[in-house]
Amino acid sequence: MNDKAEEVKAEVVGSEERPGPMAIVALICGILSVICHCVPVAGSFIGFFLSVAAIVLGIIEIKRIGRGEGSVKGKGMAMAGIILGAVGIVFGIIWIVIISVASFAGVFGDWMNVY
Amino acid sequence: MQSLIDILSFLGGGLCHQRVERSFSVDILNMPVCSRCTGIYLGIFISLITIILLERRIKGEFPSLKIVLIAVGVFLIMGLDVVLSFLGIIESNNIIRLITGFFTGWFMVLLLLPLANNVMFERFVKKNYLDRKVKFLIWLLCGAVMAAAFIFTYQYALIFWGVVSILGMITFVLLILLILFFSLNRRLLGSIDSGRKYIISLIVGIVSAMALLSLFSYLRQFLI
Repeated sequence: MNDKAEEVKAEVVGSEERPGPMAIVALICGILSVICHCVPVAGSFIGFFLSVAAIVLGIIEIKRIGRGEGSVKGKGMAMAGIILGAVGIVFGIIWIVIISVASFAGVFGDWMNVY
Repeated sequence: MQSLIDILSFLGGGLCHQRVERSFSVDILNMPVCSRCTGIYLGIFISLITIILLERRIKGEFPSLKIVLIAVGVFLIMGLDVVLSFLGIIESNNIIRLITGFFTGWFMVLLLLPLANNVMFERFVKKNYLDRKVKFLIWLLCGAVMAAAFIFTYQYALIFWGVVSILGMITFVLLILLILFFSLNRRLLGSIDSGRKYIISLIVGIVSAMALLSLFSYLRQFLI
Protein backbone atom coordinates (compact mmCIF):
# COMPACT_ATOMS: atom_id res chain seq x y z
CA MET A 1 0.00 0.00 0.00
CA ASN A 2 2.81 2.32 1.03
CA ASP A 3 4.84 1.36 -2.04
CA LYS A 4 1.89 2.13 -4.30
CA ALA A 5 1.43 5.53 -2.69
CA GLU A 6 5.11 6.31 -3.22
CA GLU A 7 4.91 5.30 -6.87
CA VAL A 8 1.82 7.42 -7.46
CA LYS A 9 3.68 10.33 -5.88
CA ALA A 10 6.58 9.63 -8.23
CA GLU A 11 4.40 10.01 -11.34
CA VAL A 12 5.14 13.18 -13.24
CA VAL A 13 3.28 15.34 -15.73
CA GLY A 14 4.64 18.09 -17.89
CA SER A 15 7.48 18.77 -20.30
CA GLU A 16 9.76 20.41 -17.72
CA GLU A 17 10.53 16.90 -16.47
CA ARG A 18 11.52 15.68 -19.92
CA PRO A 19 14.97 15.86 -21.52
CA GLY A 20 15.56 18.27 -24.40
CA PRO A 21 15.37 16.88 -27.96
CA MET A 22 19.06 17.62 -28.54
CA ALA A 23 20.07 15.37 -25.62
CA ILE A 24 17.87 12.58 -26.98
CA VAL A 25 19.23 12.90 -30.53
CA ALA A 26 22.81 12.94 -29.13
CA LEU A 27 22.16 9.65 -27.33
CA ILE A 28 20.48 8.03 -30.37
CA CYS A 29 23.39 9.13 -32.62
CA GLY A 30 25.83 7.66 -30.06
CA ILE A 31 24.02 4.29 -29.94
CA LEU A 32 23.67 4.08 -33.74
CA SER A 33 27.34 5.01 -34.23
CA VAL A 34 28.43 2.06 -32.06
CA ILE A 35 26.30 -0.32 -34.16
CA CYS A 36 27.53 1.20 -37.43
CA HIS A 37 31.20 0.79 -36.47
CA CYS A 38 30.67 -2.97 -36.39
CA VAL A 39 30.25 -2.98 -40.17
CA PRO A 40 33.75 -2.23 -41.47
CA VAL A 41 34.28 0.49 -44.11
CA ALA A 42 30.72 1.42 -45.20
CA GLY A 43 29.28 1.35 -41.69
CA SER A 44 32.33 2.94 -40.12
CA PHE A 45 32.08 6.00 -42.40
CA ILE A 46 28.44 6.55 -41.38
CA GLY A 47 29.37 5.74 -37.78
CA PHE A 48 32.11 8.39 -37.79
CA PHE A 49 29.64 11.13 -38.75
CA LEU A 50 27.11 9.89 -36.21
CA SER A 51 29.81 9.95 -33.51
CA VAL A 52 30.72 13.55 -34.36
CA ALA A 53 27.01 14.48 -34.29
CA ALA A 54 26.57 12.77 -30.90
CA ILE A 55 29.51 14.66 -29.38
CA VAL A 56 28.57 18.05 -30.87
CA LEU A 57 24.88 17.78 -29.88
CA GLY A 58 25.79 16.47 -26.44
CA ILE A 59 28.18 19.36 -25.76
CA ILE A 60 25.67 21.95 -27.03
CA GLU A 61 22.95 20.49 -24.78
CA ILE A 62 25.20 20.43 -21.70
CA LYS A 63 26.14 24.07 -22.36
CA ARG A 64 22.44 24.95 -22.70
CA ILE A 65 21.69 23.18 -19.42
CA GLY A 66 24.59 25.08 -17.80
CA ARG A 67 23.04 28.36 -18.95
CA GLY A 68 19.69 27.24 -17.53
CA GLU A 69 18.06 27.03 -20.99
CA GLY A 70 17.64 23.24 -21.23
CA SER A 71 16.03 20.64 -18.98
CA VAL A 72 18.42 19.22 -16.36
CA LYS A 73 16.84 15.82 -17.13
CA GLY A 74 18.81 15.72 -20.38
CA LYS A 75 22.23 16.00 -18.75
CA GLY A 76 22.66 12.23 -18.25
CA MET A 77 21.55 11.50 -21.81
CA ALA A 78 23.80 14.17 -23.27
CA MET A 79 26.74 12.74 -21.27
CA ALA A 80 25.92 9.19 -22.44
CA GLY A 81 25.75 10.52 -26.03
CA ILE A 82 29.17 12.16 -25.66
CA ILE A 83 30.72 8.99 -24.15
CA LEU A 84 29.27 6.76 -26.91
CA GLY A 85 30.30 9.34 -29.53
CA ALA A 86 33.85 9.34 -28.14
CA VAL A 87 33.94 5.52 -28.30
CA GLY A 88 32.69 5.80 -31.89
CA ILE A 89 35.38 8.38 -32.78
CA VAL A 90 38.10 6.07 -31.42
CA PHE A 91 36.78 3.19 -33.55
CA GLY A 92 36.38 5.55 -36.52
CA ILE A 93 40.04 6.59 -36.26
CA ILE A 94 41.11 2.93 -35.99
CA TRP A 95 39.13 2.11 -39.17
CA ILE A 96 40.58 5.09 -41.04
CA VAL A 97 44.13 3.99 -40.12
CA ILE A 98 43.37 0.38 -41.14
CA ILE A 99 41.80 1.41 -44.47
CA SER A 100 44.66 3.85 -45.21
CA VAL A 101 47.35 1.28 -44.44
CA ALA A 102 45.55 -1.45 -46.42
CA SER A 103 45.04 0.86 -49.42
CA PHE A 104 48.68 2.01 -49.28
CA ALA A 105 49.91 -1.58 -49.12
CA GLY A 106 47.56 -2.56 -51.96
CA VAL A 107 45.82 -5.30 -49.95
CA PHE A 108 42.53 -3.52 -49.33
CA GLY A 109 40.53 -5.75 -51.70
CA ASP A 110 42.00 -8.96 -50.24
CA TRP A 111 41.34 -7.73 -46.74
CA MET A 112 37.70 -7.00 -47.48
CA ASN A 113 37.26 -10.45 -49.02
CA VAL A 114 38.64 -11.99 -45.84
CA TYR A 115 36.15 -10.00 -43.79
CA MET B 1 7.59 -22.06 -45.22
CA GLN B 2 9.84 -20.92 -48.06
CA SER B 3 7.96 -17.64 -48.37
CA LEU B 4 8.45 -16.99 -44.62
CA ILE B 5 12.19 -17.59 -45.00
CA ASP B 6 12.27 -15.24 -48.01
CA ILE B 7 10.45 -12.50 -46.07
CA LEU B 8 12.82 -12.89 -43.10
CA SER B 9 15.87 -12.75 -45.38
CA PHE B 10 14.51 -9.72 -47.21
CA LEU B 11 13.87 -7.77 -43.98
CA GLY B 12 17.18 -8.92 -42.49
CA GLY B 13 19.00 -7.53 -45.53
CA GLY B 14 17.91 -4.06 -44.48
CA LEU B 15 20.44 -3.82 -41.67
CA CYS B 16 22.83 -6.76 -42.14
CA HIS B 17 25.47 -7.89 -44.67
CA GLN B 18 24.10 -11.50 -44.35
CA ARG B 19 27.40 -13.18 -45.21
CA VAL B 20 26.83 -16.93 -45.19
CA GLU B 21 30.18 -17.76 -43.53
CA ARG B 22 29.35 -15.30 -40.75
CA SER B 23 25.89 -16.69 -40.11
CA PHE B 24 24.53 -19.65 -38.17
CA SER B 25 23.24 -22.27 -40.57
CA VAL B 26 21.82 -25.77 -40.68
CA ASP B 27 22.27 -27.64 -43.97
CA ILE B 28 21.22 -25.13 -46.64
CA LEU B 29 19.19 -22.96 -44.24
CA ASN B 30 20.83 -19.77 -42.93
CA MET B 31 19.75 -17.37 -40.23
CA PRO B 32 18.29 -14.23 -41.88
CA VAL B 33 21.05 -12.10 -40.30
CA CYS B 34 24.74 -12.69 -39.48
CA SER B 35 25.82 -14.07 -36.10
CA ARG B 36 26.61 -10.65 -34.57
CA CYS B 37 23.31 -9.15 -35.73
CA THR B 38 21.51 -12.30 -34.53
CA GLY B 39 22.99 -11.63 -31.09
CA ILE B 40 22.16 -7.91 -31.08
CA TYR B 41 18.54 -8.29 -32.18
CA LEU B 42 17.80 -11.41 -30.10
CA GLY B 43 19.27 -9.50 -27.14
CA ILE B 44 17.06 -6.48 -27.79
CA PHE B 45 13.85 -8.47 -28.18
CA ILE B 46 14.31 -10.90 -25.27
CA SER B 47 15.68 -8.18 -22.95
CA LEU B 48 12.62 -6.03 -23.67
CA ILE B 49 10.25 -8.90 -22.84
CA THR B 50 12.22 -9.75 -19.68
CA ILE B 51 12.11 -6.15 -18.44
CA ILE B 52 8.37 -5.90 -19.16
CA LEU B 53 7.79 -9.13 -17.21
CA LEU B 54 9.98 -8.02 -14.31
CA GLU B 55 8.65 -4.45 -14.13
CA ARG B 56 4.99 -3.85 -14.89
CA ARG B 57 5.11 -0.08 -14.38
CA ILE B 58 5.95 2.43 -17.11
CA LYS B 59 9.22 3.91 -15.90
CA GLY B 60 10.81 6.90 -17.59
CA GLU B 61 13.96 7.71 -15.64
CA PHE B 62 17.29 7.33 -17.47
CA PRO B 63 19.56 4.65 -15.89
CA SER B 64 22.30 5.64 -13.44
CA LEU B 65 25.82 6.51 -14.63
CA LYS B 66 27.05 3.15 -13.30
CA ILE B 67 24.69 1.24 -15.61
CA VAL B 68 25.50 3.54 -18.56
CA LEU B 69 29.22 2.85 -18.03
CA ILE B 70 28.61 -0.93 -17.83
CA ALA B 71 26.63 -0.66 -21.09
CA VAL B 72 29.43 1.32 -22.75
CA GLY B 73 31.91 -1.34 -21.52
CA VAL B 74 29.79 -4.09 -23.12
CA PHE B 75 29.58 -2.08 -26.39
CA LEU B 76 33.38 -1.65 -26.28
CA ILE B 77 33.95 -5.39 -25.94
CA MET B 78 31.91 -5.98 -29.11
CA GLY B 79 33.76 -3.19 -30.92
CA LEU B 80 37.14 -4.61 -29.89
CA ASP B 81 36.09 -8.05 -31.11
CA VAL B 82 35.25 -6.52 -34.52
CA VAL B 83 38.54 -4.56 -34.83
CA LEU B 84 40.88 -7.23 -33.45
CA SER B 85 39.37 -10.02 -35.54
CA PHE B 86 39.47 -7.79 -38.63
CA LEU B 87 43.19 -7.22 -38.00
CA GLY B 88 43.74 -10.94 -37.43
CA ILE B 89 45.06 -10.36 -33.90
CA ILE B 90 42.40 -12.63 -32.43
CA GLU B 91 40.39 -15.30 -34.19
CA SER B 92 36.73 -14.63 -33.62
CA ASN B 93 34.01 -17.14 -34.37
CA ASN B 94 30.23 -17.12 -34.68
CA ILE B 95 29.71 -17.96 -30.99
CA ILE B 96 31.91 -15.06 -29.79
CA ARG B 97 30.20 -12.71 -32.26
CA LEU B 98 26.81 -13.88 -31.02
CA ILE B 99 27.64 -13.44 -27.32
CA THR B 100 29.27 -9.99 -27.66
CA GLY B 101 26.37 -8.85 -29.85
CA PHE B 102 23.76 -10.40 -27.56
CA PHE B 103 24.87 -8.47 -24.48
CA THR B 104 25.18 -5.26 -26.50
CA GLY B 105 21.52 -5.62 -27.48
CA TRP B 106 20.61 -6.76 -23.96
CA PHE B 107 21.97 -3.55 -22.39
CA MET B 108 20.80 -1.28 -25.22
CA VAL B 109 17.18 -1.79 -24.16
CA LEU B 110 18.01 -0.35 -20.74
CA LEU B 111 18.92 2.93 -22.49
CA LEU B 112 16.18 2.96 -25.14
CA LEU B 113 13.09 1.80 -23.21
CA PRO B 114 13.00 4.49 -20.47
CA LEU B 115 13.78 7.09 -23.13
CA ALA B 116 10.83 5.94 -25.25
CA ASN B 117 8.52 5.93 -22.19
CA ASN B 118 9.72 9.38 -21.17
CA VAL B 119 8.98 11.04 -24.51
CA MET B 120 5.78 9.12 -25.30
CA PHE B 121 3.71 8.96 -22.13
CA GLU B 122 1.96 11.80 -20.37
CA ARG B 123 2.48 10.04 -17.03
CA PHE B 124 5.26 7.68 -16.03
CA VAL B 125 6.93 6.52 -12.86
CA LYS B 126 9.97 8.63 -12.07
CA LYS B 127 12.25 5.68 -11.40
CA ASN B 128 14.90 3.62 -13.21
CA TYR B 129 14.19 0.19 -14.61
CA LEU B 130 15.85 -2.61 -12.58
CA ASP B 131 16.67 -0.21 -9.75
CA ARG B 132 16.84 -3.14 -7.31
CA LYS B 133 19.98 -5.29 -7.36
CA VAL B 134 18.01 -8.55 -7.26
CA LYS B 135 15.97 -7.63 -10.32
CA PHE B 136 19.11 -6.51 -12.16
CA LEU B 137 20.82 -9.84 -11.40
CA ILE B 138 17.74 -11.85 -12.45
CA TRP B 139 17.62 -9.87 -15.70
CA LEU B 140 21.33 -10.52 -16.32
CA LEU B 141 20.93 -14.22 -15.52
CA CYS B 142 18.02 -14.44 -17.97
CA GLY B 143 20.36 -12.99 -20.61
CA ALA B 144 22.98 -15.67 -20.00
CA VAL B 145 20.32 -18.43 -20.06
CA MET B 146 18.77 -17.16 -23.31
CA ALA B 147 22.15 -16.82 -25.04
CA ALA B 148 22.95 -20.41 -24.00
CA ALA B 149 19.48 -21.53 -25.12
CA PHE B 150 20.14 -20.16 -28.60
CA ILE B 151 23.57 -21.78 -28.86
CA PHE B 152 22.24 -25.21 -27.85
CA THR B 153 18.98 -25.14 -29.80
CA TYR B 154 19.53 -23.18 -33.02
CA GLN B 155 20.22 -26.38 -34.95
CA TYR B 156 16.74 -27.66 -34.14
CA ALA B 157 14.81 -24.39 -34.26
CA LEU B 158 16.58 -22.19 -36.79
CA ILE B 159 13.39 -20.69 -38.24
CA PHE B 160 12.00 -19.87 -34.78
CA TRP B 161 15.20 -18.04 -33.82
CA GLY B 162 15.21 -16.38 -37.23
CA VAL B 163 11.70 -15.02 -36.60
CA VAL B 164 12.72 -13.79 -33.12
CA SER B 165 15.84 -12.06 -34.45
CA ILE B 166 13.83 -10.24 -37.15
CA LEU B 167 11.26 -9.25 -34.50
CA GLY B 168 14.21 -7.84 -32.53
CA MET B 169 15.38 -5.90 -35.58
CA ILE B 170 11.89 -4.43 -36.06
CA THR B 171 11.74 -3.62 -32.32
CA PHE B 172 15.08 -1.79 -32.49
CA VAL B 173 14.03 0.35 -35.47
CA LEU B 174 10.59 0.88 -33.86
CA LEU B 175 12.13 2.17 -30.61
CA ILE B 176 14.47 4.53 -32.48
CA LEU B 177 11.62 5.84 -34.68
CA LEU B 178 9.22 6.33 -31.74
CA ILE B 179 11.88 8.20 -29.73
CA LEU B 180 12.68 10.47 -32.68
CA PHE B 181 9.02 11.04 -33.70
CA PHE B 182 7.92 11.92 -30.17
CA SER B 183 10.96 13.91 -29.03
CA LEU B 184 11.28 16.07 -32.15
CA ASN B 185 7.60 16.99 -32.39
CA ARG B 186 6.35 19.30 -29.63
CA ARG B 187 2.72 18.28 -30.24
CA LEU B 188 3.49 14.59 -29.91
CA LEU B 189 5.84 14.88 -26.89
CA GLY B 190 4.19 13.23 -23.88
CA SER B 191 0.87 12.93 -25.70
CA ILE B 192 0.07 9.26 -24.99
CA ASP B 193 -2.60 9.28 -22.29
CA SER B 194 -4.73 6.27 -23.28
CA GLY B 195 -4.34 2.68 -24.41
CA ARG B 196 -5.94 3.48 -27.75
CA LYS B 197 -3.37 6.17 -28.58
CA TYR B 198 -0.58 3.82 -27.49
CA ILE B 199 -1.78 1.01 -29.78
CA ILE B 200 -2.20 3.42 -32.72
CA SER B 201 1.32 4.79 -32.24
CA LEU B 202 2.71 1.24 -31.99
CA ILE B 203 0.96 0.18 -35.21
CA VAL B 204 2.17 3.29 -37.06
CA GLY B 205 5.68 2.71 -35.67
CA ILE B 206 5.78 -0.97 -36.68
CA VAL B 207 4.54 -0.20 -40.21
CA SER B 208 7.14 2.60 -40.53
CA ALA B 209 9.91 0.34 -39.20
CA MET B 210 9.04 -2.43 -41.67
CA ALA B 211 8.80 0.08 -44.54
CA LEU B 212 12.22 1.50 -43.62
CA LEU B 213 13.80 -1.96 -43.44
CA SER B 214 12.26 -2.87 -46.81
CA LEU B 215 13.58 0.36 -48.32
CA PHE B 216 17.10 -0.32 -46.98
CA SER B 217 16.94 -3.88 -48.28
CA TYR B 218 15.85 -2.70 -51.77
CA LEU B 219 18.58 -0.05 -51.80
CA ARG B 220 21.15 -2.64 -50.78
CA GLN B 221 20.07 -5.01 -53.57
CA PHE B 222 20.13 -2.10 -56.02
CA LEU B 223 23.58 -0.83 -54.97
CA ILE B 224 25.41 -4.16 -54.57
